[in-house]
Amino acid sequence: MANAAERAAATPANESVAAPERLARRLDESGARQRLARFGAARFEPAWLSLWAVAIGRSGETAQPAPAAWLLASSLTPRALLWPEALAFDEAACGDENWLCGGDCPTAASFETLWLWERLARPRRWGLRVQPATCRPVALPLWLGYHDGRHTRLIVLSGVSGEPLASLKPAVLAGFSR
Amino acid sequence: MGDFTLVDTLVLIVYVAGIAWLGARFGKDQESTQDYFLGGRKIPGWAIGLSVMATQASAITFIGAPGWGFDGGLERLATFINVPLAMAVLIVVLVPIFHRAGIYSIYELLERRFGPLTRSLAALLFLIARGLATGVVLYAPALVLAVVTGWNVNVTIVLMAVIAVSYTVLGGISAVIWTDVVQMFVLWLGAILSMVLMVTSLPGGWSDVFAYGAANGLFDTLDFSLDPTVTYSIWAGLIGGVVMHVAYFGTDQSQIQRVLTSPSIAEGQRSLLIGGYLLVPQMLLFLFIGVMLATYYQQHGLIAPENLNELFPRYVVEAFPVGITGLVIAGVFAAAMSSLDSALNSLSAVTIRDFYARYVKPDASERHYLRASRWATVFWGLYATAFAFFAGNLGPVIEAVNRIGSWFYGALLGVFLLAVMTHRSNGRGAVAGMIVGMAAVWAASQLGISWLYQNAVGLIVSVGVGYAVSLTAPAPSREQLSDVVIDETAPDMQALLKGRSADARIIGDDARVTRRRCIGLIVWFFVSLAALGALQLWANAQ
Repeated sequence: MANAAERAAATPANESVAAPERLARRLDESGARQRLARFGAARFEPAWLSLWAVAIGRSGETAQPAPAAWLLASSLTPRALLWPEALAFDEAACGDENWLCGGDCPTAASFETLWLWERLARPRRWGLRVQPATCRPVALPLWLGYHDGRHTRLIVLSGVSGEPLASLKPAVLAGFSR
Repeated sequence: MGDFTLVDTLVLIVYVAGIAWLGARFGKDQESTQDYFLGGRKIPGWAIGLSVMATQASAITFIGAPGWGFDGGLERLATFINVPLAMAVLIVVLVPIFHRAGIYSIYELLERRFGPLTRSLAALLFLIARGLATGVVLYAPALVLAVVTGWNVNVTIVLMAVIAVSYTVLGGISAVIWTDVVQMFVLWLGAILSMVLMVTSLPGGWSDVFAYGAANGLFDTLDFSLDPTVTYSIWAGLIGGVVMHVAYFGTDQSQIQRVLTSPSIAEGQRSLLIGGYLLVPQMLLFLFIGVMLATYYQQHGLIAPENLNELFPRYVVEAFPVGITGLVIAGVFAAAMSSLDSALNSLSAVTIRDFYARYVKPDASERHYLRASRWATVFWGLYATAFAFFAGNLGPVIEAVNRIGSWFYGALLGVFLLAVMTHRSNGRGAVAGMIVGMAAVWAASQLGISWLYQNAVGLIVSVGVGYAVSLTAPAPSREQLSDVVIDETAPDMQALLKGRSADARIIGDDARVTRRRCIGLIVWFFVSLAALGALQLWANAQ
């Protein structure tokens, strides 16, 4: 868990934390149903998970106006999600259905570590760096699937790409508990 | 009658050309390796199941099994009686994990769990074993054609390879599966036609077959001997055969890749159900043709050919009407090509995913990988062709293929079970288990015990050694276990999830359906066993 000083380095100075903006959901219900069936889910529901986004750019550049990518994470996610384009928000999205708090904002050092893992997997982005000043809360659309066997298994699917996001499971489970 | 006539040749050519055309059509819309190796993950379970069946009834079964039936009756059914049990194990244990992992090659899972060395070693073993077996698969039907038509065997091998490679290169796994569906029906039609024509050629019909079979002990399927040197005892079939079939259908990329093409876990499981129910009757059909041939040869005072693989095709050409001969030989072709095409596609998948994209060119475009995959298919076609030229020296063909597999299968299954069932095993243990497991299989093969037991020896040694050696290295990380461990097993979390699940919208009821399917397979195993036991009791009472 980050201490207050570290977290302050990762969040914009002298700003109160704004409500997370919702990223646009691209996978509709029928698509989610089909994909979750592929993973053996028997039931499903939509959800929103609050995360923290930080821009990735060249050292010395400000991330604005066009960062190379965004890194999405929270203090509870073991790996970050790499968002390789501009964040696309859905201004019209509303409703509080299954709003899950995904955890605190990671420290700047944590974001650096998470970005190191991503860079190891994608050497072409080696020259890019985390831009801590751009840190902002976002809400990631998810589809949650439930597989009822001996244990009920949770399947977390991105509402944007439709890919399974095992690395978000700890954050989602923590969100349930809260 | 007595020759492979021009009409027969035309029937064969029309059939082969039709299959090549059908297969090639699937190449049009393919843009990625997901299309090429997984058919876009949208092939229905029933088609996959029939494809698995067609591959099993390969030319070596079509040709070899009647020879077995002629020689030893139904005794070798002991090797296959366990298939329903093996399918139930796969449905429950491996298919959900493979499917959820979203992988192309199952050896990718070994890297996530154990690291790159285990993945590369397992993939290399697959390439060696399947590459050799593919050569044998090509040789067997070429041998038949040579007997039937008088063509040179090597020329026939090249011709068959060119046809199968062509449509597999163009159409990928979709071509493999959908041509197999057609070939499955041709194959069964050929076998059933053969039975009908053979029965009508016997004065007493079926009663002659049953009388001859009973008098000569050809219906003695169940041998309860505990002697481990008895090759086809029921215990060898149950202990070694289950391991062999779980390994073959679950850890051999040429088999399990098709299950990964299904749109859902449930569809993948459904595809295995078809094999679970129909593979035993299919093998029974081919063995029974052998019993009928034995009856026919005895009644007509004929002498069997020295090579029993030639028995059935010789009979077809000599006894069947014009046109029907061409159709049955087309069935042999169907069987051969259905085995060859799936092997080529899986060899290409492992080559590209586990080696080329992993080590040689990791960051290329999908278009590049698709092109490379097609070239890899061509390469393996050439390799299989070259090996097929030497396959004639390997002895009885079908046994040779099974032996090649049995060197690796037990140890490979052991490593997958270590990955899935234990959370303490690691890369060091997996590699040690695989190597020592294979060495144990070799040692067991020197003891004279049934080759079926060798698979079980490989499994037990690889799991035991793998686990013990794992204790000498650190436990795997949480991330390495992410494919095989459920995070949410704590009782309070389970209560929470069950509550949420109850309120969520319904997709399907697969868990309960899966349980019912597995129970059905186990019941089917006992029904098959009882039926064969009843036949044996009746025969011995005559």
